[in-house]
This record gives sequence, structure tokens and C-alpha cells, in this order.
Amino acid sequence: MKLWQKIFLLTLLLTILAINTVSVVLLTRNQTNALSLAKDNAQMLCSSVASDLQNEILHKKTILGKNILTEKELVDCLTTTAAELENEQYHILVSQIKADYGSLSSLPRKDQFASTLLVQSSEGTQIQAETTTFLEGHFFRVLIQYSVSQLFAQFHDDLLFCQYYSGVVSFAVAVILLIAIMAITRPLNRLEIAAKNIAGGNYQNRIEVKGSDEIAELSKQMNMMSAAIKEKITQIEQISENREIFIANMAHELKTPLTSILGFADLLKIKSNVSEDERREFASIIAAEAKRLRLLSTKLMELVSLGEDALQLTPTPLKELLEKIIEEFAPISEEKHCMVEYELENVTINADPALFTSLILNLMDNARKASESGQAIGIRLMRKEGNAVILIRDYGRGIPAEHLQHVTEAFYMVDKARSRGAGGAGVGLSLCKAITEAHHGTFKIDSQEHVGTTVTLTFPIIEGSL
Amino acid sequence: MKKKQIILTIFATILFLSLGIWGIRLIYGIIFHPETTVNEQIPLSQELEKAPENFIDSLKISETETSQNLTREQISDYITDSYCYVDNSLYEQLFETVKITYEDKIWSQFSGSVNENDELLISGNFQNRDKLKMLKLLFRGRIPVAFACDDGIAPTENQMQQAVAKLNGYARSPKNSPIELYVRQIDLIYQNCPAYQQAVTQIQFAGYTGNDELSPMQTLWECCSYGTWQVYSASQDVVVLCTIGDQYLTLYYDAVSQNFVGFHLNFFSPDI
Repeated sequence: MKLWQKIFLLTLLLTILAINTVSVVLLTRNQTNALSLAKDNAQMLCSSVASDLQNEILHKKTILGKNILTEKELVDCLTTTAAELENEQYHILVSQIKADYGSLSSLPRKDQFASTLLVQSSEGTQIQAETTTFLEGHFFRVLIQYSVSQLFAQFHDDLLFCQYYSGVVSFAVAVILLIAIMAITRPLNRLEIAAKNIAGGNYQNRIEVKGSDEIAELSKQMNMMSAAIKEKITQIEQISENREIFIANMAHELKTPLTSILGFADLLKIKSNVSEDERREFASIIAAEAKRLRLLSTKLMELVSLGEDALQLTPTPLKELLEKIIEEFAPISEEKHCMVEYELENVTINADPALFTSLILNLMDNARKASESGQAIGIRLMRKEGNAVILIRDYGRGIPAEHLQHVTEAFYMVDKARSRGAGGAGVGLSLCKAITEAHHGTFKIDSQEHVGTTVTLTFPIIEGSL
Repeated sequence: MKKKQIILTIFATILFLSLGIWGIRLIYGIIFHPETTVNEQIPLSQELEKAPENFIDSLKISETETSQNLTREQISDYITDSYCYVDNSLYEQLFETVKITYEDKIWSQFSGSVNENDELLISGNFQNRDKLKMLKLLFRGRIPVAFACDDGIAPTENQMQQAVAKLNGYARSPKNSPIELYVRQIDLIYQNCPAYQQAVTQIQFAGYTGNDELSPMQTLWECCSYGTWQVYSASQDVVVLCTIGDQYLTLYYDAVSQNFVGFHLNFFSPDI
């Protein structure tokens, strides 16, 4: 059963129940009041008739000049008076009560009370109001048969009207309910279709959001969910693609030194008359390629391990760390006659000193590789907008604009021949970026061909540090 | 599938609407009980409980508004004056009906008063065989017209039932019943009272309906043949009334001893 059917039928059922209950309660309350009024009338009439009989007896005694009436005179008087008082609404019956003696307690129990009783007879529905009265030394029972047939006919008509009215109103409510519920639940159909589309892989589909009710909110959330799924899938596809490229590149980068190693090893095996110089040259090549393989595998290991474990970061004063790195780097830079210029402020961040050292050394080595002999390398550490900013700048060949966005991808090389010649495999920058992100920092490269490259690293400063 | 759902919804809607229409009758039947609204028993008023006593009191010798209380001497004088209208034997026989011995000095034991109708009501208590009896006499025109004896013992319910049943039987056929005996006794008591005889003669005309040949009657009992005997009772008192035209005679009955203990000649109004 559909939701709209459930809502419709349940609401209709409750509405009908409410309409009927309220109608019947009001109807019965009204009818009970009317019946109480009729009962009061019958009781009053009964008392009034008893009083009239008493008066008529007094009147008759006055006419006859008697102090007391005989039983026959009394009965005649009562019969005549009762007949005169009757009308089509009520009948009067007066009967003498057979008592053992003249005391109320000697009367039959029912005659010791005034009573009203609802009776059904061939003449219709009547209220029988009875009372006991004492007339001329005798107890009499005065019975009024007060017809309420007309009242009950009216009750019946009221009930029929109530049924009719209830039926019409319930029907009208059903129609209005159906239209309203269909209108309210229509957006759910759109949601259902959208959910089906998402399930079928169509993440472009968006639900039209109208109003601000729960369904509109749900539609918004569905749209957001759809967009998020699409984004995640794109990311997953990108990761998958990157991984494929990564594996292909890695295979290629592994293959190149291995080919050299195997080639020169074969030469040493096949060539019978290898001179000492040749042997030394071949061995040097094999050793250099093996070193490159070891470096490559070390960097790959670092890259992989960065993604697996959370780093244990400790407050680290960057100025001291950078001074130490610059000092370590001095012999390497001097090989190319590059001078390292630096300007360092006192800043402390949370960092893993070993990895941070690797990050800066990598970037400085890249700067050295890009620089011509004698060109300077600049390092600046400063505090900016609550962050520690490290700028590493060279004035070398720069990176062409079309390569700039790919240089942080693993195994991406702008000039493969030169990179390999310099012992690189295109993994350094991607490792630097991964280390920066592991320190909750940002990594940015600005470069202009033949002008130079600036790498900007930004890290959050520890609150309260100098 | 959709068509099936719509058919199901329509069917359920029709069912609910029908249940609603006929359910009203069901709820109405459950809620509305006219019998509980109408059927009721209400205790009768206290006045009705006292009504039989009040009615019987109106037939008994009652003390109406007193205009003058009399001394014992005045009462004796009043009785002495009554001898002009009734002789001594009337009182002897009267007291004899309640087993009290009459003597002249008996009047000194009565106290009394004259009411605004100039009627004298005297009453006194007498010890007789361990029983205290209260006698009441009502005089009109110096002639005793009512006499009653009350020993103050309240009858039981059973005694009342018996008395009323008996008297109803007597009232239906008074001839040769204790009623006749008692009325004849009254006739006997008043046989030497000319005013009484005159009243009895007058009462004939009150009861005469014109169907029979009118012949002079000598006794009250004979007049009573025109009358209607009726029994009235309250919780402790019972009386028999004979209505003769617009006049009537009351006989007082003691439910304890099951005897007549007094009378009231209501018709008897000697010139005063």
C-alpha cells in the first residue's frame, strides 16, 4: 500500500470517527435534555392533576354542602375530573390503592414512591408519571400517560439527518483529503524517480526543490547526496587513473636503471677483453643506476608510509631547524657555487623534525638543480596571518606554465632526460606535497620560465608561541 | 498494480463511509439510553405521610380554638344545667360503654373549655383496672353529642390490619354486625332525650332519596339504612363513618380491644 493511501485512509477513518462521535454526542445531549424536559412536564402534570383533583373534591363538597363525600361520590368526582383534564397529549388514570390501613407504609412498595417510566405500547411511546395522593381518607394513585411519540419521531428524524449530514460531510472530506494528500505527496514521486536514477548511476539528475517543507529539505539533501556521490566517484576515478599512471611511471622508472644495469652487466659478462678503464666505467654506471633505484625506493617508501600512519607532531622551532638544514646543505650547494640566502623569524609549529628536514632538503635540492652555476637560492621564514610561511626561491630555468599543475604528481617530469640525468625520478615534489599536507599545511608553486620558481609552504603556528 | 491500488482505495473509502453512516446508529445506541433519563423513583412528600392522621383528626373530637377555660365548678354547673335536657341515666349508660362507673362527683375530675362555637369540650383521665383511660365529651347546647375513650395504648400493625379488615366487612353488611349493636346502644342511651329524637327525625330527610315511601323513623339505626358506611384509618386510629345525605355519624373504634369506644353525632345540633 502506498504512503498516500495509508495517510488518506487513516485520516479518513479518524475524521469519520470524529465527525460521528461529535455528532452523536451533541445529538444525544440535545435529546436527553428534551427528554428530561418532557419528564419534568409529566411529573409537574401529575402533581398538578393531583392538586386539581383535591380542589375539585373541595368544590364538589361545597356544592353538595357536605363535609365528606361517599366513596361513590368521590369516585364519580375523580373520574369526571380526570376525563375533563385529559387531552390528546396525555391520559389520566386515577385508581384507589388497596391498603391494609391508612398509613403510607402499609401501601404496596411501588405506591410509596412517585415514579416516571418510559413505556412502549400500541399507542406509541409514553412517559408514565405516577404519584400517590390522599383524597377524602383514601390513598389514590394518579397516573399520567404522557405521550412522547412525537418527540421520539423527532429523535428519529434527527438521527436520520445526522446520518445523512455525516455521510455528505465525510464524502466531502474524503474528496478534499484525497486531493490534498495527492498534492502533498507528489514531490515524493519525484524523489522516488530521482532515487531510481541515482541507483541507476545517473548522478546528473537534480530534483526540483519547491517550498521549504520536509520534502523540500529532503530533496535538497538528495541533490547534495547526488552531487557528493558524483564528486566522490570522480575522485575515485581520478585516484584510479592516477594510480594507473603511477604504476606505469613507476614501472618505467624502475625499468630504465634496470635496463642500464642489465646492459652493462651483460657487457661485462659477454665481452672477453674488457679493459680496466672500461670495467671501472661500466661498474660506475651500474653503481650509479643502483643508487638511483635505492633512492627511488626510499622515496616511494616514505610516500606510502605517509598515507598509512598519522604523524607524531611535536612543537618545533623552525628557525633553528632551518639553520641546521642550511648548514647541512652548504657542501652540496657549493658544488654548484650556489649561495643560500636566508631570512628567518622565530616561529614554532607542530612538526615531525625528520620529515620536515626531508621536505626542506628536497625543495632546496630542486632549487639547486634548477639553478645555473653561481645563482643564489633564497629561503625566508616569516609569520603571516597566524601562519608560518616558508618561501624557497631559485632564479633558475623555471617551469613552463603548462607543466605547473602536474609537477606535484608522482613520476611527473618536465624534462625527463635532464631529470634522470640529475638522478631524479619525478617523485620528490609529490613527496614534498604529501609531507606538507601531513603537517596540515599548504603547498604552492609559482614559477615563470627563465625567471625562477618560488615554493610557498604555509603551516599553522602553535597558539601562544613566539 | 496501480489500478489495483486505486480500486482498493475506492473500496476502502466506500466501506469507511458506509461504516460511518451506519456506525452513527451504533454509537447512538450505545450512548443514548432514554430509559435511564426517564425512569426514576422519587420518595413521596412528608405531608402525604401525615395526611391520614390529619384526616382522622378532623373526624375525632378535637380541641378547636378555645375562647374560655372553665373551672371545675363551672363544669359541674354546666352538667347540672344539662340535666334539663338529658337525665342521669344517659351518663350512666354512656360511661358504662367504656366500663367506667358513673357517679355525680365524677365531673369534678374533668377539665374543659368552651370554644368559639359555644361547644364545651371536657376531658379527664380515669384509672380503671390498671388502665388509664382518657375520656372526652363534647357538648352542644348542654347535650353531649360526642364521646370518646382512649386508653393510650398504640395498636400494632397487625391489630390495625385486623381492625380495618373487620370494619370493612361490617361496613359492607352492617346489619346484625357490631355496628348495628353499637348504634342501637346509642339509640338506647339517648332514648329519653327529646332533642335527639328530633334530630333523628330530621336526619331522615337528609338521607331520603325520594324512591321509597317516607315513614317516620324512631331510631338512628333506622336512619342509617339510608346512609353509606365507610371506614377510615390512619396509622393508629380507625373510625367508621355513616354518611346520610349531608349529615354523618362517626363511630370510634379501638384496634387494641377491637371494640367501639365512642361516637360523634355530627348531625346533632341542638339549638344553643
